[in-house]
Amino acid sequence: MKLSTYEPDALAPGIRRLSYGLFCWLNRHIVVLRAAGALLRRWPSIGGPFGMVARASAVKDVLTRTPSFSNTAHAANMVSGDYLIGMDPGPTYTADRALVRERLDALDVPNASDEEAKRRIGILDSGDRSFDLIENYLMWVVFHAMKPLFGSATDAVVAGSADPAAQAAVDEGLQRQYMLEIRYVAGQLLAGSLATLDLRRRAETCGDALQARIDRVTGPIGTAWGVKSASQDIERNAVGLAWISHPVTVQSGALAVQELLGRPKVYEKLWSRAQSLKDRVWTDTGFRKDVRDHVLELMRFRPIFPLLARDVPRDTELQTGARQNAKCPGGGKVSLLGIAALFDPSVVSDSRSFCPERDWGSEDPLRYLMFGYGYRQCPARDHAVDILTSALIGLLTLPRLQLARGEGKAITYDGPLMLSMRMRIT
Amino acid sequence: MKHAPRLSEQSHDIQGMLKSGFGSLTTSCFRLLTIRDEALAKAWLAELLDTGLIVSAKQVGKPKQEKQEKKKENEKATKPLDAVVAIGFTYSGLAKLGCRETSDHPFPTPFRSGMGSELRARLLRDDDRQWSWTDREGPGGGEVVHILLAEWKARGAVSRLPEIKSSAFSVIEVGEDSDFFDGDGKLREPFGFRDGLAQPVIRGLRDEDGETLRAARDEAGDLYGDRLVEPGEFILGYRNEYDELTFCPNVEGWTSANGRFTLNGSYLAVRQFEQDVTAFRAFEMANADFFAANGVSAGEKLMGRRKNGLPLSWKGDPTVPAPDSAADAFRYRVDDADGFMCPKGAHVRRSNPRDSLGIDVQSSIKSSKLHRLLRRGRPYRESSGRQGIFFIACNADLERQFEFIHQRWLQNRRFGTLESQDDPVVGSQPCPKTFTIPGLASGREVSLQHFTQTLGGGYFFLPGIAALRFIARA
Amino acid sequence: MLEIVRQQMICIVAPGWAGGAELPKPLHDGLNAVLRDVAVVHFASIGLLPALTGDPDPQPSLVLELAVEEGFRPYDLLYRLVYHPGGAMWALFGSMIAPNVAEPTAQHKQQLLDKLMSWHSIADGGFVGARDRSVRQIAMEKDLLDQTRIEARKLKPKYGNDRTAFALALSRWAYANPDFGWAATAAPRSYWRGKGAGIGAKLAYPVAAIVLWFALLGIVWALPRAFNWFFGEPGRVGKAIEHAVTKTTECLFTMSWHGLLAFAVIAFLVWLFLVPLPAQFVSWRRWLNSVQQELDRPTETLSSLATYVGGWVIGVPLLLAVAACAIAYTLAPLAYALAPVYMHDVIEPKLPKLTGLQITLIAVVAIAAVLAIGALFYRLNRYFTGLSEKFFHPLEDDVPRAQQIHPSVERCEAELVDGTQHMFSLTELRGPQWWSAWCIRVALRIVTFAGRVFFTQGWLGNAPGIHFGHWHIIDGGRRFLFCSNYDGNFGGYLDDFINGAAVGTTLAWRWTELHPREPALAGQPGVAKPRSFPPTRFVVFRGVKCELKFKSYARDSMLPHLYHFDACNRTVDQINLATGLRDALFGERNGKNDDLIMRAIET
Repeated sequence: MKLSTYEPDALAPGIRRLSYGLFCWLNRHIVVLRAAGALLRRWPSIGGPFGMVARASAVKDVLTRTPSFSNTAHAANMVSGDYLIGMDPGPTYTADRALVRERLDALDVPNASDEEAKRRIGILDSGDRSFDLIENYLMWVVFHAMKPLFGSATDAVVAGSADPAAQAAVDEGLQRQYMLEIRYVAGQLLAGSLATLDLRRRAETCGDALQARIDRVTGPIGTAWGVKSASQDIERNAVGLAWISHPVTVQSGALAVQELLGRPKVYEKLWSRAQSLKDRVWTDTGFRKDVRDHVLELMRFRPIFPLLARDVPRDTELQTGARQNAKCPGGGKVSLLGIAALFDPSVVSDSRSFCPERDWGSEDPLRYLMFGYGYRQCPARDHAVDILTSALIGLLTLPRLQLARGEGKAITYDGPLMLSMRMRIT
Repeated sequence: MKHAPRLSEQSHDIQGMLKSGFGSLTTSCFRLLTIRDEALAKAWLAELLDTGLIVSAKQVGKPKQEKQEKKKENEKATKPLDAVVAIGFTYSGLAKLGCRETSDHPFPTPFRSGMGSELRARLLRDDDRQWSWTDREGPGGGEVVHILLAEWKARGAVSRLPEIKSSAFSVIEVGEDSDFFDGDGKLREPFGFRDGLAQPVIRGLRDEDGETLRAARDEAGDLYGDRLVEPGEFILGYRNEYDELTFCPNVEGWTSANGRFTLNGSYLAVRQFEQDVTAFRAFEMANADFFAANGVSAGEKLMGRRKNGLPLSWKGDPTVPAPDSAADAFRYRVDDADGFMCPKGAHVRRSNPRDSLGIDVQSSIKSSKLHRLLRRGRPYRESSGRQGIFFIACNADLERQFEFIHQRWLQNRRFGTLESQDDPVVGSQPCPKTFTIPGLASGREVSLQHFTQTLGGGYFFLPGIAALRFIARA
Repeated sequence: MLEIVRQQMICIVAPGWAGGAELPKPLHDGLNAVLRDVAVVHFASIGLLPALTGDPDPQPSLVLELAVEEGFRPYDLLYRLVYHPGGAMWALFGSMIAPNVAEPTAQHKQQLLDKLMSWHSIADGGFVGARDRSVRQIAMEKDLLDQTRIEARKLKPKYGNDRTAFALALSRWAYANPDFGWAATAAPRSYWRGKGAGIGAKLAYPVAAIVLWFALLGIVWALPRAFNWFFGEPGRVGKAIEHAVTKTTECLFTMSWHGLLAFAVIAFLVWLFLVPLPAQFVSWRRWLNSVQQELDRPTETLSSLATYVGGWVIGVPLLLAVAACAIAYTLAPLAYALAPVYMHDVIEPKLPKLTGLQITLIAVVAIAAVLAIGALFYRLNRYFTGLSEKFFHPLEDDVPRAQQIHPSVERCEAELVDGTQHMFSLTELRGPQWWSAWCIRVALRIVTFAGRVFFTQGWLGNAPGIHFGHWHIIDGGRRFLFCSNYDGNFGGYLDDFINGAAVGTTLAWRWTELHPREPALAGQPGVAKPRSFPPTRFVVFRGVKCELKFKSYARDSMLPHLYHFDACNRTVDQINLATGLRDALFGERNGKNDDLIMRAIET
């Protein structure tokens, strides 16, 4: 079924561009957002009346009170139809979540991601000395690691056709095109309702194309999944799985690497260890655990969703940490400064320093705040971290890396979305 | 470059039909001739010219002063005309008589391609043509005719037409001296409606003068200007509503210093409609309750006028007769925007939307004047009992006037905000079809059958008198 | 803001078309299927442009015109079309990228996309009628309208005599119908057609800009003072800075309000002469009308000549004088700041010293004088009209081959007689082409802006029924392509242009001409005789008002289409009605909404 997603821009000309520009700027200059978060965390009564929450306790509170603070806030930005992340709990939600868990169980990480990372590193190492982190590396590592999501139907999904001949013709070009398509669908979730009209329209067409693509191959997908659900259930889940799994992981990885390269000492230390391990770099469990910790810590400094929103279906109150509870009128929204919660000194010791080996103790789940919290947390969080760990290990086996400055900007953005990250092997 | 002609100096060359509808000549007959022998046809034409039956606009009514001066000395000339003939030619007719258009001033595309052609059938939305005559071979079939001969006579007058020999022409005769005027001298068409009320008045070539003109102006009040249209909308070579000179095509061999061949001519869009009076009466009977409830019959709603010619929005007592000029002085936009009185899809509202289609009254009136027709047809009745209207519309730009009205207004199923409804009287949509009569609280729909059928049609050129002589000689 | 409009109308001009004058049926169907599936394209048409004169390659170019929903960047749109599995874009353009490749690879498609991007141009200017709505919105609202009419027929016997009850019943039916869940929100409209439709929103921008400018000046002026207040008396440098800042801001401030005042006075005068005075004095109104009419007159009558010459002798110098006064008044503070002594000693003594009362009196007398002149001119004009009728015969203006339509163009019109009509018009830019292109672009931006912000009800000026009208300068600034989708027929459309949007159309087309050109292919129209656009006066008068010349110019510039796609065959009126019905059904129950429902179900 075709969706009616398009709405013309009802904001006065200029205002959207301004607010969206500010939003993107904040996303890229995460430090400013952190500072603002610190302010609101220190004086929660400032943000309270505006529905802004910054303290870890309050953020956790909101994320766990799912009946009072609904995920439907995402729904408006899901251009290719409803999916788990924007649904309120219910039978559909439960069934879909079970299906996702089942699909995730089929993943073979970190083995699959290790394998692809090794292959890609081999190519990069033998090629010229510069490459694009996203296009030439991360995209592929994540893609291959996640192949079991669609299993035997992967080629059908990529080809957008149930025809075996078309599936046989799938090459990297087609795979790349598929990944670009789902990137913009996911991008809309990042850009949110502030996105300018042209970005939203692009996301909508890509969402539309993705839907049409999946619609043609629900048969093969059903076979691959071994389910006999109605084709619309398969379609909804397949569409959702396609756009949310891959692009978000890739963006997270790119952000983590960006942060790592901004910390030369940390990078130097890790890199030296990797170099010293030589062949054992892929098998050393201690090293892998350390890299994993690093990945999480890097993601703490650059979480993919530094800001989150939740709908308020009915009047309620919220413990922001101020003396008086903040009133949340029904029909409104609350904004969560996840980035502030991740740096809340009351729960994170020595929160301002980069410390991968920090003992989170009972607050360990908070470490994964970028994946959500509590029952609604992303079911694929460990898989994602594992994949990114493989990816990072791979990068560490290369000679020293740095951002390829000098030939234009090393990182190009499309709104809050990172499009490319040119790297140079020195 | 030379000077454009002045209308006042040219009335001797303009066929009288453009000035007058010959209301006093109540009997009419229309003949469609197909030329069999060019030489004989020309000879006949010359003979016709000599009879003096083809009158000029000047002869139809003389300017006041002239009349007074010459009254005594020239009594014979002012004797009322008792028979008049007008003659027009199709494109193929002109070609047959040896008139070849010049390359710089050819005839306009619609006239050249002919109403009967396949392309025009589609442009005019004649879905299913079954014609007995036409101006050019096409999907509707029918005999291809070359000449239209219209004859108006006073009651009882004897025809002075030169004999039409079968060696020269084959003839289709329509009307057989029909007379649809009632005792008051008012014309009523077969369904019983007064006809010929909403006519444009050509600026500088009025039929009325003196007292009649003053009375017509007084009765119409401020709205008299609505019907005043520049001569170039109907006569070739003069200023039209754009303040532009209307395009005059030319033919080879034409050498007059006065102007081109078509100067003082006009194009006639002709259609022969057969009216199904029984079906119309049955429709009115079936909707008798409507008449009982509203005081206006459903048939009058279709037509958009009362049978006695008064507009449906008439504010006085509709049973008391009113002067024709007053009966045509009305607009829609302010009083009847929603069509509560005259339905939006009614025949008269479609064929002349007056002030209802533009952005305001002034611009709408201005633009509707670009799409006016001078109607010179008459109802006809044949001995077989078949009756209808022989529709003749004079216009100077077939595309902007007749074809536009026909295609965009009459046959347009999406006229205004209507949905799948064309003209209730002459529409070609398959039947039964619906017609909406807006009303309060909400309107109603009535189901319609075909009340008319088109039997033939064509485009003719009505030449000036000098051009006629040229054709006869060419 | 204008780009969003311009992006809605795209033309792709692909050189080297080797196909025939007809598209094969499978391609036709393939294009239909793709465009229908993508569901964001309102109209698409394909035509053939004759090769440029002097071009060594005589092959025609293929032009694909797309009129799409708001907000798409051309790349995203073309990406979707090129990568659509239907593959119609490859079938159409593939032979120009890689001949004889039936099944393109991903690289082929990327090549095609890159090529299309290099061939495409967004409109240099355009107008969007009722199509700020999406294709789906129009289709769904049509469905709502149709269903409501069907339901109304059923409910009519029960509620027919009670408007409120009838409307309520229909509204309840619509609410309860799960198919129309989407309609429960107000119909989405773009800002200028929705929230910003009022005059307040339009005024807000200039007012905000002025306020911000003055606020900025105030802040800059206050900064050194605030600094002094905090840190005490400044040193020499500080004082110099303070002095400079104060001088500059004060000068700018004075200039700004002088400029504003001058603008306000001019605006007031324009308003005075065009609105209240004509309303109050009949002779003034008639004189204004006759001036405009005489400037638009086709032939050189005495009065039109007099008006034209009078325009140059009186009108233009008067306007220039007013503009010079306004500029002098605006720049005076700058002159005082730069050369105060000169201004005091030399200029000021030369200026008349007047009291406010005297100035007011002069203004009143001036206006009275202008009125008297107007009345006089009106009388003169009438007198001369009579005179020119007598002595100055209008000249016959020969327009060869007028009222001729190429059969291929007429066939296209006949094909779309039940739908939305379409036209392509191709003309050449008048030399020097860069200058023409620049002028056209400026004019078109103005038209686009007016269409976006002011003409938001589906009418361009007084011209109704335009869905999309767009102009492209193509072939490196040599040719000018106009494409349009509209209700009605072409002749009527040109009449709408002449009567409803004469100024805009004249502005857009006056820098073009027709050069002789061969038909793109046999059976297509060419141009035999060169011609320039009908003459204009004072840039905007005459032009399209020369009916015969203009129509024949437009007709001869036309090209037929090989293919036409219309996503939802609805007229502007129907679209507006359906949206109105949606808002009325799902809106507040009041008399206005009830009546709107009653009227909407009547057809």
